[in-house]
Amino acid sequence: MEEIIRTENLTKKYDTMVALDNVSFVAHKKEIIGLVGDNGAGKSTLINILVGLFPPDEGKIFLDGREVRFTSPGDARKRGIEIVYQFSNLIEGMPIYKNFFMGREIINRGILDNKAMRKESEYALDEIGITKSADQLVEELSGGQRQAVSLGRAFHFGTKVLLLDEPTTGLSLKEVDRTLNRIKLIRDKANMSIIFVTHNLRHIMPIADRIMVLYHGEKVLDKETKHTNIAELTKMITARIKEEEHVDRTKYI
Amino acid sequence: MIELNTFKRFLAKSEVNRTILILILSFVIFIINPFFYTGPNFRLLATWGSIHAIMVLGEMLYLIPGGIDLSLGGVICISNVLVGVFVIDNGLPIWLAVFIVLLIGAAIGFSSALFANAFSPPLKFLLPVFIYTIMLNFVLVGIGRIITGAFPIYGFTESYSLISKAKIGPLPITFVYLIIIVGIFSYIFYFRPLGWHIFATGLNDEVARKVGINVKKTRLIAFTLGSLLQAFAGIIIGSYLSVGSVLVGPEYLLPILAGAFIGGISLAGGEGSPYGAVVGGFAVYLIENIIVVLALPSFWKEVATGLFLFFFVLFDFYQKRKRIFTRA
Repeated sequence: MEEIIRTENLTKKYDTMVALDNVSFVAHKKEIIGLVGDNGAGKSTLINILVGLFPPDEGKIFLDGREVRFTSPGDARKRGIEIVYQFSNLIEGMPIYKNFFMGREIINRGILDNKAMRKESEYALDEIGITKSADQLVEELSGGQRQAVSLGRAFHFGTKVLLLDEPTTGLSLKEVDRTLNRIKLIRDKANMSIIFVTHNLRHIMPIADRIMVLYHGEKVLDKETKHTNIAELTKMITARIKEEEHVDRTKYI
Repeated sequence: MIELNTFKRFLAKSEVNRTILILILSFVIFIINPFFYTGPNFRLLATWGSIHAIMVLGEMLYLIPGGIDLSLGGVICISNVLVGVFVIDNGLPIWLAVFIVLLIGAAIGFSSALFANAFSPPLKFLLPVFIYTIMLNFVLVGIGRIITGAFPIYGFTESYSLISKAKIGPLPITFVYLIIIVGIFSYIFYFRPLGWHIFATGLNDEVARKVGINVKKTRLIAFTLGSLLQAFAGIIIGSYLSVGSVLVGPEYLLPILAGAFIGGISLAGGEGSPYGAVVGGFAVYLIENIIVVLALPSFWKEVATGLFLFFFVLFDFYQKRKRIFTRA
Protein backbone atom coordinates (compact mmCIF):
# COMPACT_ATOMS: atom_id res chain seq x y z
CA MET A 1 0.00 0.00 0.00
CA GLU A 2 1.09 3.49 -0.84
CA GLU A 3 2.19 5.62 2.09
CA ILE A 4 0.48 8.99 2.44
CA ILE A 5 1.31 10.53 5.78
CA ARG A 6 4.04 9.60 8.23
CA THR A 7 5.09 11.17 11.51
CA GLU A 8 8.36 10.78 13.32
CA ASN A 9 8.71 11.29 17.07
CA LEU A 10 6.03 13.94 17.43
CA THR A 11 6.24 15.48 20.89
CA LYS A 12 4.15 18.22 22.44
CA LYS A 13 4.30 19.57 25.98
CA TYR A 14 1.94 21.89 27.82
CA ASP A 15 4.03 23.44 30.56
CA THR A 16 5.31 20.33 32.30
CA MET A 17 2.65 17.94 31.10
CA VAL A 18 3.64 15.79 28.16
CA ALA A 19 0.61 15.62 25.88
CA LEU A 20 2.31 13.72 23.10
CA ASP A 21 5.41 11.61 23.59
CA ASN A 22 7.47 10.50 20.59
CA VAL A 23 4.57 9.37 18.46
CA SER A 24 5.48 7.86 15.10
CA PHE A 25 3.05 6.27 12.70
CA VAL A 26 2.35 5.69 9.05
CA ALA A 27 -0.99 5.93 7.25
CA HIS A 28 -1.58 4.47 3.82
CA LYS A 29 -3.87 5.18 0.91
CA LYS A 30 -7.47 3.92 1.28
CA GLU A 31 -6.80 2.87 4.86
CA ILE A 32 -8.94 3.67 7.89
CA ILE A 33 -6.91 3.95 11.09
CA GLY A 34 -8.75 3.92 14.38
CA LEU A 35 -7.07 6.19 16.91
CA VAL A 36 -8.31 5.36 20.39
CA GLY A 37 -7.40 6.31 23.91
CA ASP A 38 -8.84 7.62 27.14
CA ASN A 39 -9.48 11.29 27.85
CA GLY A 40 -6.20 13.15 27.91
CA ALA A 41 -4.37 10.40 26.04
CA GLY A 42 -3.21 12.89 23.41
CA LYS A 43 -5.57 12.09 20.58
CA SER A 44 -6.77 15.65 20.13
CA THR A 45 -3.25 17.01 20.42
CA LEU A 46 -2.09 14.71 17.65
CA ILE A 47 -5.02 15.65 15.45
CA ASN A 48 -4.55 19.36 16.06
CA ILE A 49 -0.90 19.11 15.06
CA LEU A 50 -1.84 17.27 11.88
CA VAL A 51 -4.35 19.95 10.86
CA GLY A 52 -1.94 22.79 11.58
CA LEU A 53 -3.71 24.33 14.57
CA PHE A 54 -0.38 24.34 16.39
CA PRO A 55 3.10 23.01 15.63
CA PRO A 56 4.74 20.11 17.50
CA ASP A 57 7.58 20.87 19.90
CA GLU A 58 9.65 18.14 18.30
CA GLY A 59 9.28 15.65 15.52
CA LYS A 60 8.56 15.66 11.84
CA ILE A 61 5.59 15.16 9.54
CA PHE A 62 5.99 13.68 6.07
CA LEU A 63 3.33 13.98 3.41
CA ASP A 64 3.92 11.77 0.36
CA GLY A 65 7.44 11.20 1.63
CA ARG A 66 8.28 14.89 1.78
CA GLU A 67 8.71 16.72 5.07
CA VAL A 68 6.04 19.38 5.71
CA ARG A 69 5.43 22.08 8.28
CA PHE A 70 1.89 23.40 8.58
CA THR A 71 1.73 27.07 9.45
CA SER A 72 -2.07 27.31 9.80
CA PRO A 73 -5.23 25.24 9.31
CA GLY A 74 -5.57 26.91 5.92
CA ASP A 75 -2.10 25.73 4.98
CA ALA A 76 -2.86 22.13 5.92
CA ARG A 77 -6.10 22.33 3.98
CA LYS A 78 -4.30 23.51 0.90
CA ARG A 79 -2.11 20.40 1.08
CA GLY A 80 -5.15 18.14 1.06
CA ILE A 81 -5.74 17.50 4.76
CA GLU A 82 -9.36 17.70 5.85
CA ILE A 83 -10.93 17.35 9.26
CA VAL A 84 -14.40 16.65 10.62
CA TYR A 85 -14.90 17.55 14.27
CA GLN A 86 -17.15 16.11 16.92
CA PHE A 87 -19.06 19.35 17.15
CA SER A 88 -19.27 20.09 13.53
CA ASN A 89 -16.94 22.61 12.00
CA LEU A 90 -19.76 24.38 10.22
CA ILE A 91 -20.96 27.92 10.72
CA GLU A 92 -24.57 27.62 11.82
CA GLY A 93 -26.00 30.85 10.54
CA MET A 94 -24.88 30.15 6.99
CA PRO A 95 -26.33 28.01 4.22
CA ILE A 96 -24.75 24.72 3.22
CA TYR A 97 -23.01 25.96 0.10
CA LYS A 98 -21.30 28.83 1.90
CA ASN A 99 -20.02 26.40 4.50
CA PHE A 100 -18.83 24.12 1.76
CA PHE A 101 -16.76 26.73 0.01
CA MET A 102 -15.84 28.97 2.93
CA GLY A 103 -12.19 29.83 2.53
CA ARG A 104 -11.93 28.43 -1.00
CA GLU A 105 -14.64 30.25 -2.84
CA ILE A 106 -15.13 29.86 -6.57
CA ILE A 107 -14.52 33.22 -8.17
CA ASN A 108 -15.57 33.95 -11.68
CA ARG A 109 -14.50 37.22 -13.35
CA GLY A 110 -13.64 38.77 -9.99
CA ILE A 111 -16.92 37.98 -8.24
CA LEU A 112 -18.23 35.04 -6.23
CA ASP A 113 -19.86 32.41 -8.43
CA ASN A 114 -22.74 31.41 -6.17
CA LYS A 115 -24.45 29.37 -8.84
CA ALA A 116 -21.46 27.11 -9.44
CA MET A 117 -20.87 26.73 -5.70
CA ARG A 118 -24.50 25.74 -5.09
CA LYS A 119 -24.38 23.19 -7.87
CA GLU A 120 -21.07 21.66 -6.83
CA SER A 121 -21.98 21.36 -3.16
CA GLU A 122 -25.27 19.64 -3.99
CA TYR A 123 -23.44 17.30 -6.31
CA ALA A 124 -20.83 16.41 -3.68
CA LEU A 125 -23.50 15.74 -1.04
CA ASP A 126 -25.34 13.57 -3.50
CA GLU A 127 -22.13 11.55 -3.98
CA ILE A 128 -22.12 10.47 -0.36
CA GLY A 129 -25.83 9.86 -0.29
CA ILE A 130 -27.52 12.92 1.14
CA THR A 131 -29.88 15.14 -0.80
CA LYS A 132 -30.18 18.66 0.52
CA SER A 133 -30.79 22.05 -0.96
CA ALA A 134 -27.56 24.05 -0.99
CA ASP A 135 -29.44 27.04 0.36
CA GLN A 136 -30.59 25.33 3.53
CA LEU A 137 -29.20 26.84 6.70
CA VAL A 138 -26.92 24.57 8.72
CA GLU A 139 -28.81 25.43 11.92
CA GLU A 140 -31.85 23.67 10.43
CA LEU A 141 -30.01 20.35 10.05
CA SER A 142 -29.88 17.46 12.51
CA GLY A 143 -26.59 16.34 14.04
CA GLY A 144 -26.20 13.49 11.56
CA GLN A 145 -26.97 15.75 8.62
CA ARG A 146 -24.41 18.28 9.78
CA GLN A 147 -21.85 15.53 10.06
CA ALA A 148 -22.80 14.46 6.53
CA VAL A 149 -22.23 17.98 5.22
CA SER A 150 -18.82 18.08 6.91
CA LEU A 151 -17.97 14.67 5.47
CA GLY A 152 -19.17 15.72 2.03
CA ARG A 153 -16.99 18.79 2.17
CA ALA A 154 -13.96 16.78 3.26
CA PHE A 155 -14.64 14.25 0.53
CA HIS A 156 -14.95 16.97 -2.08
CA PHE A 157 -11.79 18.86 -1.20
CA GLY A 158 -9.58 16.37 0.61
CA THR A 159 -6.91 14.67 -1.44
CA LYS A 160 -4.53 13.19 1.12
CA VAL A 161 -5.71 12.73 4.66
CA LEU A 162 -9.13 12.82 6.30
CA LEU A 163 -9.13 13.25 10.06
CA LEU A 164 -12.30 12.42 11.95
CA ASP A 165 -12.38 13.75 15.51
CA GLU A 166 -15.12 11.77 17.26
CA PRO A 167 -17.56 12.21 14.38
CA THR A 168 -20.08 9.77 15.87
CA THR A 169 -20.24 11.11 19.41
CA GLY A 170 -23.64 12.52 20.30
CA LEU A 171 -25.43 11.06 17.32
CA SER A 172 -28.46 8.78 17.47
CA LEU A 173 -27.93 5.08 16.69
CA LYS A 174 -29.38 5.40 13.22
CA GLU A 175 -27.25 8.42 12.49
CA VAL A 176 -24.14 6.60 13.69
CA ASP A 177 -24.78 3.81 11.19
CA ARG A 178 -25.29 6.26 8.38
CA THR A 179 -22.17 8.18 9.29
CA LEU A 180 -20.07 5.00 9.41
CA ASN A 181 -21.41 3.96 6.01
CA ARG A 182 -20.50 7.34 4.57
CA ILE A 183 -16.99 7.01 5.95
CA LYS A 184 -16.64 3.63 4.26
CA LEU A 185 -18.00 5.13 1.06
CA ILE A 186 -15.38 7.86 1.20
CA ARG A 187 -12.63 5.29 1.69
CA ASP A 188 -13.79 3.39 -1.37
CA LYS A 189 -14.33 6.42 -3.60
CA ALA A 190 -11.45 8.69 -2.59
CA ASN A 191 -7.74 8.03 -2.46
CA MET A 192 -7.32 9.32 1.07
CA SER A 193 -6.09 7.79 4.24
CA ILE A 194 -8.59 8.22 7.04
CA ILE A 195 -7.73 8.65 10.70
CA PHE A 196 -10.77 8.06 12.91
CA VAL A 197 -10.50 9.26 16.50
CA THR A 198 -13.02 7.88 18.92
CA HIS A 199 -13.83 6.73 22.42
CA ASN A 200 -16.20 4.13 21.22
CA LEU A 201 -14.61 0.82 20.18
CA ARG A 202 -17.93 -0.41 18.85
CA HIS A 203 -17.92 2.34 16.26
CA ILE A 204 -14.38 1.81 15.14
CA MET A 205 -13.97 -2.00 15.10
CA PRO A 206 -16.25 -2.69 12.13
CA ILE A 207 -14.67 -0.18 9.78
CA ALA A 208 -11.03 0.31 10.81
CA ASP A 209 -8.25 -1.51 8.99
CA ARG A 210 -5.78 -0.77 11.75
CA ILE A 211 -6.05 0.44 15.33
CA MET A 212 -3.66 2.66 17.26
CA VAL A 213 -3.90 3.20 21.01
CA LEU A 214 -2.52 6.24 22.79
CA TYR A 215 -1.92 6.22 26.51
CA HIS A 216 -0.72 9.35 28.30
CA GLY A 217 0.71 10.67 25.05
CA GLU A 218 2.51 7.46 24.11
CA LYS A 219 1.60 5.09 21.35
CA VAL A 220 1.17 1.77 23.16
CA LEU A 221 -0.41 -0.35 20.44
CA ASP A 222 -0.57 -0.36 16.64
CA LYS A 223 -2.15 -3.48 15.14
CA GLU A 224 -4.33 -4.54 12.28
CA THR A 225 -7.93 -4.81 13.43
CA LYS A 226 -8.14 -8.50 12.62
CA HIS A 227 -5.18 -9.25 14.91
CA THR A 228 -6.66 -7.59 17.95
CA ASN A 229 -9.90 -7.60 19.90
CA ILE A 230 -11.95 -5.42 22.20
CA ALA A 231 -10.57 -7.02 25.35
CA GLU A 232 -6.97 -6.31 24.39
CA LEU A 233 -7.74 -2.77 23.29
CA THR A 234 -9.65 -2.01 26.46
CA LYS A 235 -6.73 -3.24 28.49
CA MET A 236 -4.30 -1.06 26.58
CA ILE A 237 -6.53 2.02 26.80
CA THR A 238 -6.84 1.72 30.56
CA ALA A 239 -3.41 0.09 30.92
CA ARG A 240 -2.02 1.64 34.02
CA ILE A 241 -5.14 1.85 36.12
CA LYS A 242 -4.51 -0.11 39.29
CA GLU A 243 -5.90 -3.61 39.31
CA GLU A 244 -8.38 -2.99 42.13
CA GLU A 245 -9.88 0.04 40.36
CA HIS A 246 -10.09 -1.76 37.11
CA VAL A 247 -13.56 -2.62 35.88
CA ASP A 248 -13.88 -5.28 33.26
CA ARG A 249 -15.30 -3.10 30.55
CA THR A 250 -15.53 -5.81 27.97
CA LYS A 251 -18.81 -6.98 29.41
CA TYR A 252 -20.35 -3.56 28.73
CA ILE A 253 -18.98 -3.20 25.24
CA MET B 1 -49.44 30.69 -2.59
CA ILE B 2 -45.77 30.64 -3.38
CA GLU B 3 -45.86 34.30 -4.32
CA LEU B 4 -47.55 35.18 -1.06
CA ASN B 5 -44.86 33.35 0.89
CA THR B 6 -42.05 35.02 -0.98
CA PHE B 7 -43.78 38.32 -0.34
CA LYS B 8 -44.06 37.54 3.37
CA ARG B 9 -40.42 36.56 3.54
CA PHE B 10 -39.52 39.74 1.73
CA LEU B 11 -41.47 41.76 4.29
CA ALA B 12 -39.85 39.86 7.15
CA LYS B 13 -36.44 41.16 6.09
CA SER B 14 -35.61 43.80 8.66
CA GLU B 15 -34.25 46.19 6.03
CA VAL B 16 -37.47 46.00 4.05
CA ASN B 17 -40.03 46.42 6.79
CA ARG B 18 -38.03 49.24 8.29
CA THR B 19 -37.87 51.11 5.03
CA ILE B 20 -41.62 50.77 4.62
CA LEU B 21 -42.22 51.87 8.18
CA ILE B 22 -40.01 54.90 7.80
CA LEU B 23 -41.75 55.87 4.57
CA ILE B 24 -45.16 55.58 6.21
CA LEU B 25 -43.95 57.55 9.22
CA SER B 26 -42.56 60.31 7.05
CA PHE B 27 -45.84 60.46 5.14
CA VAL B 28 -47.77 60.90 8.38
CA ILE B 29 -45.43 63.72 9.34
CA PHE B 30 -45.98 65.25 5.92
CA ILE B 31 -49.74 65.32 6.53
CA ILE B 32 -49.21 67.01 9.87
CA ASN B 33 -46.71 69.52 8.50
CA PRO B 34 -46.35 69.81 4.72
CA PHE B 35 -42.98 71.51 5.17
CA PHE B 36 -41.57 68.02 5.66
CA TYR B 37 -41.77 67.27 1.95
CA THR B 38 -40.20 70.47 0.67
CA GLY B 39 -36.85 70.95 -1.03
CA PRO B 40 -34.95 72.51 1.88
CA ASN B 41 -35.99 69.77 4.29
CA PHE B 42 -35.18 67.08 1.77
CA ARG B 43 -31.73 68.55 1.35
CA LEU B 44 -31.28 68.52 5.09
CA LEU B 45 -32.50 64.93 5.33
CA ALA B 46 -30.24 63.78 2.52
CA THR B 47 -27.18 65.58 3.90
CA TRP B 48 -27.45 64.60 7.55
CA GLY B 49 -29.12 61.28 6.96
CA SER B 50 -26.14 60.34 4.80
CA ILE B 51 -23.65 61.48 7.42
CA HIS B 52 -25.41 59.36 10.03
CA ALA B 53 -25.57 56.44 7.61
CA ILE B 54 -21.82 56.65 6.99
CA MET B 55 -21.23 56.46 10.73
CA VAL B 56 -23.57 53.47 11.07
CA LEU B 57 -21.72 51.80 8.19
CA GLY B 58 -18.49 52.30 10.14
CA GLU B 59 -20.09 50.79 13.22
CA MET B 60 -21.39 47.91 11.11
CA LEU B 61 -17.85 47.02 10.09
CA TYR B 62 -17.10 46.44 13.77
CA LEU B 63 -20.37 44.74 14.66
CA ILE B 64 -20.59 42.14 11.88
CA PRO B 65 -17.17 40.56 12.58
CA GLY B 66 -18.19 40.34 16.24
CA GLY B 67 -16.70 43.51 17.73
CA ILE B 68 -18.21 46.77 18.86
CA ASP B 69 -16.88 50.23 18.27
CA LEU B 70 -17.38 52.52 21.23
CA SER B 71 -14.61 54.82 20.04
CA LEU B 72 -16.52 56.43 17.20
CA GLY B 73 -17.27 59.58 19.20
CA GLY B 74 -13.59 59.93 19.98
CA VAL B 75 -12.56 59.29 16.39
CA ILE B 76 -15.03 61.86 15.04
CA CYS B 77 -13.88 64.32 17.68
CA ILE B 78 -10.16 63.93 17.09
CA SER B 79 -10.49 63.96 13.32
CA ASN B 80 -12.40 67.22 13.07
CA VAL B 81 -10.07 68.78 15.62
CA LEU B 82 -6.94 67.59 13.84
CA VAL B 83 -8.06 68.99 10.50
CA GLY B 84 -8.41 72.34 12.29
CA VAL B 85 -4.99 71.99 13.88
CA PHE B 86 -3.33 71.02 10.60
CA VAL B 87 -5.05 73.59 8.39
CA ILE B 88 -5.47 76.64 10.64
CA ASP B 89 -2.58 76.27 13.08
CA ASN B 90 0.00 74.69 10.78
CA GLY B 91 -1.10 75.96 7.39
CA LEU B 92 -1.27 72.59 5.66
CA PRO B 93 -3.33 72.41 2.48
CA ILE B 94 -6.81 71.01 3.12
CA TRP B 95 -6.40 67.91 0.97
CA LEU B 96 -3.23 66.94 2.82
CA ALA B 97 -4.82 67.50 6.23
CA VAL B 98 -7.80 65.38 5.23
CA PHE B 99 -5.53 62.66 3.92
CA ILE B 100 -3.46 62.57 7.11
CA VAL B 101 -6.55 62.50 9.30
CA LEU B 102 -8.04 59.63 7.29
CA LEU B 103 -4.77 57.74 7.78
CA ILE B 104 -4.90 58.41 11.50
CA GLY B 105 -8.50 57.12 11.58
CA ALA B 106 -7.44 53.97 9.76
CA ALA B 107 -4.54 53.52 12.18
CA ILE B 108 -6.93 53.78 15.15
CA GLY B 109 -9.11 51.04 13.65
CA PHE B 110 -6.03 48.96 12.93
CA SER B 111 -4.98 49.20 16.57
CA SER B 112 -8.45 48.07 17.71
CA ALA B 113 -8.13 45.04 15.47
CA LEU B 114 -4.67 44.28 16.84
CA PHE B 115 -6.16 44.31 20.32
CA ALA B 116 -9.07 42.10 19.27
CA ASN B 117 -6.67 39.69 17.56
CA ALA B 118 -4.40 39.49 20.59
CA PHE B 119 -7.30 38.41 22.81
CA SER B 120 -9.15 36.06 20.49
CA PRO B 121 -9.09 32.23 20.20
CA PRO B 122 -6.98 30.09 20.47
CA LEU B 123 -6.19 32.12 23.61
CA LYS B 124 -8.22 30.71 26.50
CA PHE B 125 -8.87 34.01 28.26
CA LEU B 126 -10.65 36.35 25.95
CA LEU B 127 -11.19 40.07 26.26
CA PRO B 128 -13.91 41.77 24.26
CA VAL B 129 -12.73 44.57 21.99
CA PHE B 130 -15.06 47.13 23.58
CA ILE B 131 -12.65 47.38 26.51
CA TYR B 132 -10.15 48.86 24.11
CA THR B 133 -12.54 50.97 22.06
CA ILE B 134 -14.14 52.54 25.14
CA MET B 135 -10.67 53.42 26.37
CA LEU B 136 -9.95 55.01 22.98
CA ASN B 137 -13.14 57.04 23.19
CA PHE B 138 -12.04 58.75 26.37
CA VAL B 139 -8.41 59.04 25.38
CA LEU B 140 -9.11 60.53 21.95
CA VAL B 141 -11.55 63.13 23.27
CA GLY B 142 -9.04 63.92 26.02
CA ILE B 143 -6.22 64.35 23.52
CA GLY B 144 -8.47 66.65 21.50
CA ARG B 145 -8.98 68.79 24.59
CA ILE B 146 -5.29 68.81 25.41
CA ILE B 147 -4.31 69.90 21.90
CA THR B 148 -6.87 72.68 21.61
CA GLY B 149 -7.31 73.65 25.22
CA ALA B 150 -10.99 72.88 24.51
CA PHE B 151 -11.25 76.04 22.38
CA PRO B 152 -12.96 75.59 19.02
CA ILE B 153 -10.81 76.26 15.98
CA TYR B 154 -12.37 78.72 13.53
CA GLY B 155 -11.29 80.44 10.35
CA PHE B 156 -11.68 77.79 7.68
CA THR B 157 -11.95 79.01 4.12
CA GLU B 158 -14.96 78.38 1.96
CA SER B 159 -13.25 75.49 0.20
CA TYR B 160 -13.25 73.38 3.37
CA SER B 161 -17.07 73.65 3.53
CA LEU B 162 -17.25 72.25 0.01
CA ILE B 163 -16.39 68.79 1.40
CA SER B 164 -19.84 68.68 2.97
CA LYS B 165 -21.88 71.36 1.22
CA ALA B 166 -21.05 70.93 -2.46
CA LYS B 167 -23.70 69.55 -4.76
CA ILE B 168 -23.50 67.18 -7.65
CA GLY B 169 -26.50 68.05 -9.76
CA PRO B 170 -29.41 68.17 -7.35
CA LEU B 171 -27.74 65.77 -4.90
CA PRO B 172 -25.89 66.92 -1.79
CA ILE B 173 -22.32 65.61 -1.93
CA THR B 174 -22.67 63.66 1.33
CA PHE B 175 -25.40 61.62 -0.34
CA VAL B 176 -23.04 60.91 -3.23
CA TYR B 177 -20.35 59.82 -0.75
CA LEU B 178 -22.90 57.50 0.81
CA ILE B 179 -23.89 55.95 -2.52
CA ILE B 180 -20.25 55.31 -3.37
CA ILE B 181 -19.49 53.84 0.07
CA VAL B 182 -22.58 51.61 0.04
CA GLY B 183 -21.63 50.49 -3.47
CA ILE B 184 -18.14 49.54 -2.34
CA PHE B 185 -19.37 47.63 0.70
CA SER B 186 -22.17 45.90 -1.15
CA TYR B 187 -19.53 44.69 -3.58
CA ILE B 188 -17.24 43.52 -0.78
CA PHE B 189 -20.04 41.91 1.24
CA TYR B 190 -21.87 40.08 -1.49
CA PHE B 191 -19.46 39.60 -4.35
CA ARG B 192 -16.08 39.04 -2.69
CA PRO B 193 -14.84 36.21 -0.45
CA LEU B 194 -13.89 38.85 2.13
CA GLY B 195 -17.62 39.44 2.71
CA TRP B 196 -18.15 35.79 3.54
CA HIS B 197 -15.15 35.86 5.84
CA ILE B 198 -16.39 38.94 7.71
CA PHE B 199 -19.75 37.27 8.38
CA ALA B 200 -18.11 33.95 9.28
CA THR B 201 -15.77 35.68 11.74
CA GLY B 202 -18.75 37.28 13.46
CA LEU B 203 -20.86 34.13 13.53
CA ASN B 204 -18.16 31.85 14.90
CA ASP B 205 -14.56 32.93 14.79
CA GLU B 206 -13.25 29.64 16.10
CA VAL B 207 -14.90 27.56 13.40
CA ALA B 208 -13.92 30.18 10.82
CA ARG B 209 -10.30 29.77 11.88
CA LYS B 210 -10.55 26.00 11.78
CA VAL B 211 -11.90 25.97 8.25
CA GLY B 212 -8.89 27.97 7.20
CA ILE B 213 -10.03 31.58 7.19
CA ASN B 214 -7.52 34.16 8.25
CA VAL B 215 -9.78 35.75 10.88
CA LYS B 216 -7.05 38.08 12.09
CA LYS B 217 -6.59 39.58 8.66
CA THR B 218 -10.37 39.80 8.21
CA ARG B 219 -10.70 41.74 11.46
CA LEU B 220 -7.80 44.02 10.58
CA ILE B 221 -9.43 44.98 7.29
CA ALA B 222 -12.94 45.41 8.72
CA PHE B 223 -12.00 47.46 11.80
CA THR B 224 -9.54 49.61 9.85
CA LEU B 225 -12.20 50.47 7.28
CA GLY B 226 -14.71 51.03 10.11
CA SER B 227 -12.66 53.68 11.86
CA LEU B 228 -11.64 55.14 8.52
CA LEU B 229 -15.32 55.82 7.84
CA GLN B 230 -15.72 57.44 11.28
CA ALA B 231 -12.75 59.70 10.61
CA PHE B 232 -14.32 60.61 7.27
CA ALA B 233 -17.64 61.37 9.00
CA GLY B 234 -15.74 63.53 11.50
CA ILE B 235 -14.19 65.53 8.67
CA ILE B 236 -17.56 65.98 6.97
CA ILE B 237 -19.22 67.23 10.16
CA GLY B 238 -16.28 69.55 10.90
CA SER B 239 -16.51 70.88 7.38
CA TYR B 240 -20.28 71.39 7.60
CA LEU B 241 -19.93 73.37 10.81
CA SER B 242 -16.66 75.00 9.64
CA VAL B 243 -15.12 74.31 12.98
CA GLY B 244 -12.68 72.00 14.70
CA SER B 245 -14.19 71.44 18.09
CA VAL B 246 -13.99 68.78 20.80
CA LEU B 247 -17.72 69.23 21.30
CA VAL B 248 -18.34 67.52 17.96
CA GLY B 249 -18.31 63.77 18.21
CA PRO B 250 -18.97 62.23 21.61
CA GLU B 251 -22.72 62.81 21.42
CA TYR B 252 -23.00 60.57 18.36
CA LEU B 253 -21.97 57.32 20.03
CA LEU B 254 -25.32 56.13 21.38
CA PRO B 255 -27.51 57.36 18.52
CA ILE B 256 -25.25 55.59 16.02
CA LEU B 257 -25.33 52.37 18.01
CA ALA B 258 -29.11 52.72 18.14
CA GLY B 259 -29.09 53.27 14.38
CA ALA B 260 -27.13 50.08 13.88
CA PHE B 261 -29.62 48.08 15.91
CA ILE B 262 -32.59 49.74 14.21
CA GLY B 263 -30.99 48.76 10.90
CA GLY B 264 -31.01 45.11 11.88
CA ILE B 265 -27.31 44.79 12.67
CA SER B 266 -26.92 42.38 15.54
CA LEU B 267 -24.78 43.00 18.60
CA ALA B 268 -23.90 39.31 18.57
CA GLY B 269 -22.16 39.61 15.21
CA GLY B 270 -22.64 38.02 11.83
CA GLU B 271 -25.89 39.76 11.04
CA GLY B 272 -26.61 42.94 9.13
CA SER B 273 -26.18 44.54 5.76
CA PRO B 274 -24.89 47.81 4.30
CA TYR B 275 -28.42 48.66 3.25
CA GLY B 276 -29.66 48.05 6.80
CA ALA B 277 -26.96 50.41 8.05
CA VAL B 278 -28.23 53.09 5.68
CA VAL B 279 -31.81 52.58 6.87
CA GLY B 280 -30.63 52.75 10.49
CA GLY B 281 -28.61 55.90 9.89
CA PHE B 282 -31.49 57.66 8.15
CA ALA B 283 -33.95 56.51 10.82
CA VAL B 284 -31.87 58.08 13.58
CA TYR B 285 -31.64 61.36 11.75
CA LEU B 286 -35.28 61.22 10.72
CA ILE B 287 -36.36 61.12 14.34
CA GLU B 288 -34.32 64.24 15.00
CA ASN B 289 -35.72 65.90 11.91
CA ILE B 290 -39.32 65.06 12.76
CA ILE B 291 -38.94 66.64 16.19
CA VAL B 292 -37.71 69.81 14.49
CA VAL B 293 -40.39 69.81 11.81
CA LEU B 294 -43.15 69.30 14.35
CA ALA B 295 -41.58 72.02 16.49
CA LEU B 296 -41.53 69.78 19.53
CA PRO B 297 -39.09 70.50 22.34
CA SER B 298 -35.81 68.85 21.31
CA PHE B 299 -35.70 66.77 24.47
CA TRP B 300 -38.26 64.51 22.86
CA LYS B 301 -35.54 63.39 20.48
CA GLU B 302 -34.03 61.10 23.09
CA VAL B 303 -37.40 59.69 24.09
CA ALA B 304 -38.27 58.95 20.48
CA THR B 305 -34.89 57.39 19.63
CA GLY B 306 -35.03 55.15 22.66
CA LEU B 307 -38.56 53.96 21.97
CA PHE B 308 -37.80 53.45 18.30
CA LEU B 309 -34.81 51.29 19.11
CA PHE B 310 -36.70 49.31 21.71
CA PHE B 311 -39.64 48.72 19.38
CA PHE B 312 -37.48 47.50 16.51
CA VAL B 313 -35.32 45.18 18.56
CA LEU B 314 -38.42 43.61 20.09
CA PHE B 315 -39.93 43.31 16.64
CA ASP B 316 -36.80 41.49 15.40
CA PHE B 317 -36.88 39.20 18.40
CA TYR B 318 -40.44 38.09 17.68
CA GLN B 319 -39.73 37.71 13.98
CA LYS B 320 -36.81 35.43 14.74
CA ARG B 321 -38.74 33.45 17.32
CA LYS B 322 -41.57 32.95 14.87
CA ARG B 323 -39.12 31.72 12.27
CA ILE B 324 -37.59 29.19 14.65
CA PHE B 325 -40.97 27.92 15.89
CA THR B 326 -42.46 27.51 12.46
CA ARG B 327 -39.39 25.53 11.44
CA ALA B 328 -39.58 23.07 14.31
